[in-house]
Amino acid sequence: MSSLRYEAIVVGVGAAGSVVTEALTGAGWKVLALDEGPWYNPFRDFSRGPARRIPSGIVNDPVTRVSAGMTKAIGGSMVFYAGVFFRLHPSDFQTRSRHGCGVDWPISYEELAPYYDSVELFTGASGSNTNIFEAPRGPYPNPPHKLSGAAWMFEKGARAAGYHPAPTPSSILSRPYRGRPACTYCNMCSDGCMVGDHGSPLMTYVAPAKKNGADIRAEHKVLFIETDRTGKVKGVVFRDKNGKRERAESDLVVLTSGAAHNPIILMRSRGPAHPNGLAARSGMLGRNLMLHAGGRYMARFPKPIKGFMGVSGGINVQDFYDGAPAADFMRGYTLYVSMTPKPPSRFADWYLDRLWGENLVKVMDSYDRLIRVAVVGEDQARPENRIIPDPDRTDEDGLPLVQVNYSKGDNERNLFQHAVQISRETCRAAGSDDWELYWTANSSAHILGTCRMGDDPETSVVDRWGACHDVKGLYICDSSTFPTSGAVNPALTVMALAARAADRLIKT
Amino acid sequence: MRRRDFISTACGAAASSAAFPAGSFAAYDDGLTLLLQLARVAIPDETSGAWTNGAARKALEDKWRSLDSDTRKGYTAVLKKLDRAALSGGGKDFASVPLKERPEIVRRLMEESKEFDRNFWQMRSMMLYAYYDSPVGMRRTGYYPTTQFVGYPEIDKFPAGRKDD
Repeated sequence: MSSLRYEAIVVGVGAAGSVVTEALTGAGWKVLALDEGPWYNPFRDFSRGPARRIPSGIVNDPVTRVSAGMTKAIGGSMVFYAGVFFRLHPSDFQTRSRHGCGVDWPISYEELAPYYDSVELFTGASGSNTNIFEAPRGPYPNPPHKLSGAAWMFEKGARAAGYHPAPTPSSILSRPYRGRPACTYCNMCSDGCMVGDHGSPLMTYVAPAKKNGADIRAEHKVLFIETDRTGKVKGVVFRDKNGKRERAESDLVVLTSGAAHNPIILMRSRGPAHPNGLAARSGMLGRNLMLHAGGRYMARFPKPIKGFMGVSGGINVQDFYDGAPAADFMRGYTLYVSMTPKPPSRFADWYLDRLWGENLVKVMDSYDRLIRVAVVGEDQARPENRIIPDPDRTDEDGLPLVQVNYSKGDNERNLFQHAVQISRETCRAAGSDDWELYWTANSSAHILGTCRMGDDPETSVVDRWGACHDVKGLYICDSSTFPTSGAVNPALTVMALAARAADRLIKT
Repeated sequence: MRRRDFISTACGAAASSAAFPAGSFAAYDDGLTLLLQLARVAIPDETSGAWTNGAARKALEDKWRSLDSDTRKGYTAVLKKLDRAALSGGGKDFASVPLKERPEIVRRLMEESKEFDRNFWQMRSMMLYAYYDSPVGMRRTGYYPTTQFVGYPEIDKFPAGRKDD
């Protein structure tokens, strides 16, 4: 087995890994970045329309029946995401001290804000700083997107119902920016953008990192992180797509494979000083998995609103972000307009189950009058919700697959019911009729927790910078370190945490 | 063959094949014939002709023929329950039952047979893609596809009621 030497090795080139790689190579570091997924060429691979989503290793876990919509690829799941680009709120960092639930983050909003700024600037985020529930902030690099008919109706209804709608921030360009074109509103973001306006790492951070000299390798799977006798990181063992094993050496490994895979990689990386795997001492590794208390609500309007056009997000309502008066749940949620699934055939197949005959046709005849509202609610972390190595199933390398053990609690169910009620009220205020459809499930593309960040090594896996408490030279800085889930899409926060960790590494 | 028998046979064949597109008669089997009849119940549309001679019918035929033979056999066995149910109910096969009476037969079968119920939803999927990806289906939903580079410039025009607000 040959061996190579680097100043840093990044494991997983998704939202976090691409940011870290770009930052470190920009500072002149020699970096190896490995990802198990392929390196898509948007023009070649995404040009044939829908249904090109690539399944990951844990979609539809047959054991636990949890569905996690994530993708292995250079650029990560963001390559196929809808572009919603919220910041967390200041209260998210202090849920224990402010609301008596969850845990406080070891960092504050103010500490992360400069990194939110830098990522938004780099990606060309579009939005408006008029959301009264967010922390005060400067203008976005680009103005908010044009609103789809559905978003117009939702805004109208929210105002009529007495709420405070605001344009939803997006990582998709609303106008040409730094050599990339503006969005055409084709609504194929989740199928892979070939235009170039999408703010995924594939379109933003990966190319500069490569230009800086990063050794980025797709379809290379990290098998183990190696440590020496003192317990310090010394490199990784990986295999390429042809099955050839290699070793790369470094005093620094940055693990950014996401909340599902990080714990599994750490658990199987046993060494002389870590017989039970890395970062396992606190017993918190793999625990506190959060998926967001999410779901969708659909309503119907009397006139066509063509909800299949545009970008997801449109307009959001965060009036219940920190909770609701006399509510039977803790913390809260965000509502925003999500695009009507398309094409209609797929919409009917996926969402209108148990409908046929006249009942089916009646709904489908109103397809262009439908609105879909996304609910992203805070998911309370529970230790029993966890990632473990599957005891029965192994992958092609003979390594245990990821098993996702997760169930929603009463808090999440009650929160969702409240969100449905507010969505209904908002849509009715805009003129929707009495048809509606809503659903929630043990599924999400937002996989959070499992390597919790905290100051106390007894109750957390990494410190405030993402440095592993137990393993010198090991950093983790992605969605797995979230102590609480927040109630917004996590992409921007993942990237900001990665930018902050990279900044720390460069300065120290 | 006597002349009268020959004429009778020839006329019968001509009458049968008139219901199907020219040249495709030989490719029809019991399963596909019943599937097309079921499609008219699952996604009713008697005005456009989508299921009788339109693109939806052609697409459903293609989907049926692209199935492996075991799956086709399985579906055919399940679809034949439609004929049996119709015959026991009123002495006619499923295709001869008036359209407005067919949903009741399907509903009853779904209640009585878990196997039929499970297979119906799988076959519904084929029908949905055949119908709603066809020009007629798209027109009915108000949806129209675009390419990524063109997108939807008309996004500014919606909702229709915006200027009234």
